Parts: sequence; C-alpha cells; structure tokens
Amino acid sequence: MTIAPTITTPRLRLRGHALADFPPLCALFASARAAYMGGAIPAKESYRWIAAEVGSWVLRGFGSWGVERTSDDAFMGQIGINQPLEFPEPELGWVLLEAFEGHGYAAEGAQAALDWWWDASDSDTLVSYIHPDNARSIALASRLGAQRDPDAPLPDGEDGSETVVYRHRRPQ
Amino acid sequence: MTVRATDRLTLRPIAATDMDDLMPFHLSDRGHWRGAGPDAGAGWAWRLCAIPLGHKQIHGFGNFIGRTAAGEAVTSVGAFCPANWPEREQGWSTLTDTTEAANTVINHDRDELGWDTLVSYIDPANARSFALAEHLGATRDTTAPRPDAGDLVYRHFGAAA
Repeated sequence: MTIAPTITTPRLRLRGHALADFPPLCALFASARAAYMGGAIPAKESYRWIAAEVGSWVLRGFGSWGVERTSDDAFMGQIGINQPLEFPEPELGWVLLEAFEGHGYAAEGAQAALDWWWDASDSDTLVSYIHPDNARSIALASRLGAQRDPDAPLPDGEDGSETVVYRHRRPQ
Repeated sequence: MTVRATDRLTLRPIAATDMDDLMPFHLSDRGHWRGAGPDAGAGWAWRLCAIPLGHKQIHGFGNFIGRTAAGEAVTSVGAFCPANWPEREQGWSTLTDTTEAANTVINHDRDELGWDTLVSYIDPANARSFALAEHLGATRDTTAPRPDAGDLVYRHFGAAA
C-alpha cells in the first residue's frame, strides 16, 4: 500500500495525514477562508474529501500531506498533489491555517512537493487550479515559477469565472 | 492481513485493484444507499473508492472486500469512523451477498481487535439493510447519538458508552 512519503525542509515536515489533522482542517474548510476552495464545506463533506486525498496515494501514487512546523510540531495545513476524476491532470494545491500565513511556509512546502514530483514522476508538468480572485495563491504560484496557461483544460464542471490554470514545468 | 479464507469466501482489506468491482456498484441503483447511485457521477464514485483507502491509513481499520474462491466480489464490509461519527460504525455494500462476511468482520472486531461495541447506521427506507442487521443479531438502539437524525442505529454487540 502506497502511503505519503515524509519530506523534511528547513522549517517544515510534509507527512501523511493523521486523525488529529481533521478538526483544524475541517474547521478551516467550513470557514470563510474556504471561499476560494468551493465555499464553506460542512465537516462531514471535508472529512470525505481529505480521506479521498489520502486514499489517492493508494490509487494514484500521489495525494495530500499534512504540514507540520519542525520547530514545535505545530500542524499548519495541507499540501497535496491530486487528480480526482474531474481533473484532466494532476494538480498541486496548498492551504494553511490563518495563524501560519505570511512567513513563506506555503512556498517552502509547495516547493518541496514540486521537487518531490519532479523526482518521483516522469511528468514534466503539474498545474495549480486557482480562483481568479485569489491574489495570494496566484502570487505564490508565480513565485514558484508557474505561468498562466489559458489553453489548459479545466476540471469538469468549472469555468474561467472560478478557475484559472497556472502551469509548473520541470526545471531544465 | 487476511481475516478469513475458506472455500467459500476470502476477506482482505480493500485495495486499489478492488476499484473495478466497487465503481460499478457505486454507480448502480443500490449505490444510492452508500451515497452514490446512477446520477452521482464517476467522480464521486471514484472518491467513494478512495475514501475507505484513506480511512484505513488514517484510522488503522476499515473495509474488507469479500471474494469467492473464483474471485467474484460479493461484498465490501467494514468499520468506518470519520471525524464527526459518534462511534465506530459497521457498513456494508452488498454486491451479491454480505451475511457471512459481515458476521466474520463483526466477530473479528469484537474478538481479535477487542472493541467494546459496534453499531450500524441505516436509512429507515433501506429495508434490506436493516433486515440484514437484525439477521446478524443486532438490536435497535433508540437513544444512541447518530450522524443524521433520521438514521436507525443497530447495535451489534456491547452497549453504548
């Protein structure tokens, strides 16, 4: 059974999701901060979505990680590479609890996930689906080197009013 | 870990290879009882396969697939306890036959894992499912907390905490 590999960066640890991740993550997804992630989602729904992103490691060989700060083991949020059936290709996503924003943690974790992907897969590309009004996420995607790809197919059922595609490419 | 292998039935933790049997079930009329059905869409049916695979990693227990000696999948049965569930719940997806597998897994949970109690949450409109619960020896628990107010709670063994 494939499980999430643990990845350590200077300040972060990406590791498989644990049960203790669910209360803070489900609270986040139920809050106004989830406006760019499909809206406030009831805990019952977000449990299932997160569990499916863990099961994705078995089905796809990639999925989501819980993110911890190595200095104090604080749970900070989630980074994942996922491709549910609605997605035409694998997608890198990130979400941090509000208390951990503004320190470059998301960039550090997302870069680690990207590096893992270039190492673990044969693919030369990865996308991030971002709400067009989510300026912080767009800035982060750009900082990671991704470029807007207006020709990329969108997830089934989504249109340009809710999703723009930023494309990451394997470094040459 | 194989919980049981007889001439009739082998039970193993669900794996990626069981998708081929479970996806069509979720998209069938009977998938309705597990939160899917013909109108649910392949994306949601895929998630319903991924969720128990993730649950097993998160909780350390979960669903088993029951197969005949010929390899035919007859049921998916096992315990589920998402973050908002009041207690561990035994569920089943009957492809063709659940009784023997459910009995085996319930006994395994009690005798091998040492669990104190186990319930099933059943939609009152799902007559076949609560008939099976009763056939398995479960009794109605009218006072136990439940995820949805309309669910029936059947307790297989032990008493509410």
